[in-house]
Amino acid sequence: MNYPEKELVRKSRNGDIEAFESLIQSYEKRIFNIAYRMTGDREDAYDISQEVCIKIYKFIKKFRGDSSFGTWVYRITSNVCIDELRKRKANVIPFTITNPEGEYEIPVADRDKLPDEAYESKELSEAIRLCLLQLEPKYRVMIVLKDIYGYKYEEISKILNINMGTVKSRINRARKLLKDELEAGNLLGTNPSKK
Amino acid sequence: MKCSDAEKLLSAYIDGTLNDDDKAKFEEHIDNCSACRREYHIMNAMIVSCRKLGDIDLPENFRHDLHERLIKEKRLKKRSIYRFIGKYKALVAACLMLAVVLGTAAGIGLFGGSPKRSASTAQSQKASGSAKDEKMISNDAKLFSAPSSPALDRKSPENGTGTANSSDNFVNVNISKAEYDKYSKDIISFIESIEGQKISSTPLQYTIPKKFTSEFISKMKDSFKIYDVMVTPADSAPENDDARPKGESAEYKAIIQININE
Ligand SMILES: [Zn+2]
Repeated sequence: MNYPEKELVRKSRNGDIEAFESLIQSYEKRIFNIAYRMTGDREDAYDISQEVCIKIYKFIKKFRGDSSFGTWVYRITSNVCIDELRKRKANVIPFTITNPEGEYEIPVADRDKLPDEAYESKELSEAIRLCLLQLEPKYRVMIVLKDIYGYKYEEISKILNINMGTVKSRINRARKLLKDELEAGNLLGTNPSKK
Repeated sequence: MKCSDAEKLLSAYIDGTLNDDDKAKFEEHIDNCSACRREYHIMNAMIVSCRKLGDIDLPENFRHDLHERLIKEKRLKKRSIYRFIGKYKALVAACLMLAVVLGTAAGIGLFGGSPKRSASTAQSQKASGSAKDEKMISNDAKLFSAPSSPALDRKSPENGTGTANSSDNFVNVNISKAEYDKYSKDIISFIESIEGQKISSTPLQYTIPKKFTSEFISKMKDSFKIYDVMVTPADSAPENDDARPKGESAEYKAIIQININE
C-alpha cells in the first residue's frame, strides 16, 4: 500500500490502524532517535517514542495541515522529551564520564594532526553525546535539531514554535555551552601552541 | 571588529547565513586573531562531529508493541462514550426524568422550551476530558507550555477521559442479533449475580471485578454457547488477583463490551 501521506492521514483520523502504521513508519526512527539524543538512554527513548506515536494517533484530528506532518510530529516529539526532562529536573544525574558499554576514555590530543582532523575523531562524537546531556533541555534540543539532524533555522522555528531570532540566538548559545562542557571535561584536547 | 562581535557571528558564519559584509569582516578578523581562529576551528569540529553521530536502530519489538498499544487505544476511544454514559447513568436518568416532568409541565402550559437543559448539562460534563493533552498537541502549542505527559508512566495510558486502567481486562463479546435477543437477559442476570445488584437498563457495556473474567468467559461459552469472546488482558498488573496487595482489587476491572453483528 502506497497511498499519499494525505490519504493516510485522512484514514488515520478515522482510526484506521493499518493506515496509521504506514504513515508513522517514515517517522518513527527519527522520533526514537530524537528521544535518544535528548535522554541519552535507549529505554527512555523507547518509552517516550511509543508515547509520542500513541499521542499522534490519538490527536491526529488536531492536525490541521498548516505545517507539514513531519513538523507536527517532531513538535510533539520535542514537547514530550522536554516535558519529560523537566519532570526529572529534581533528580539530575550527576555528570560521570561513563557509558553503558563501559568506562569512557578521555581522548588524548594528537598534536601532529591538524585541529579539524583531531576533533573529528570518534572519541569526540562520544564526548558530545555525553556532554549534550549536561545542557538544559531547551539548548539540548537545539543541538539535536540543528547540528545532529541539520534542520534549517526556519524548520526549527516551526517545529518548536518559536521565532527565528530566538532560534538563532539559542543555537548560538547552545553551541557555546556545549563547547564549554567539552572543554571543561578537557575533551577537546586543544593545543594552544597551534596557531 | 572586536572579539566579542566575532563570537556572536561565529555560529551564523559556520551555518553560512551571514551577509557578505559581515562575512568579509568576520574572515578578516579570524585571519588576524588567533584566539578567535581557534574558537572557530573548535566549534566547526564540534558541529562536524555532531553530524556524524548518526542514528541508532529502532528496538526490534518497537512496531509490534506499538501495534498492540494502538489496538488498545482504538478500543478505549470507542468505549469512552459508553463509559461516559455508564459513569453518569444516574445523572442522565435524572435529567431524562426532569425532561419528562418539564415536558409534561410545558404540555400543560407551565413552562416553555425547558427540556433542552438536560442535554447541555450532559455535554458540559463530557467536555472536561483531556483538554490538557489536547493543548499540548495543538499546532499553536508553545514549546515550554507543555503539560506533564505520562510518557514513562504506563499505568495511565489515557488522560482524564475516565476510569479505565491499563490493568483492566477488556472482554469483547461478539454475537449476532439473534443471539443477543435470545441471551441478553441471561447475560445480564449473570452479571447481576456477580455484581450483587440489579441492572435496570440493557446497555452494551458492563464492568465486573477483574477476578471474574474467566468465570464470565466460561459462562458465555458453556451456558450460552457464545464462542466469539475476545479478551485483551491487562498488561501491567499481575493476572492473579491474590498476588496483589489487599484492598486494591476493587480498582481492577474487566470491561465487557457486547458487540452485535449484523
Ligand atoms: Zn578575536
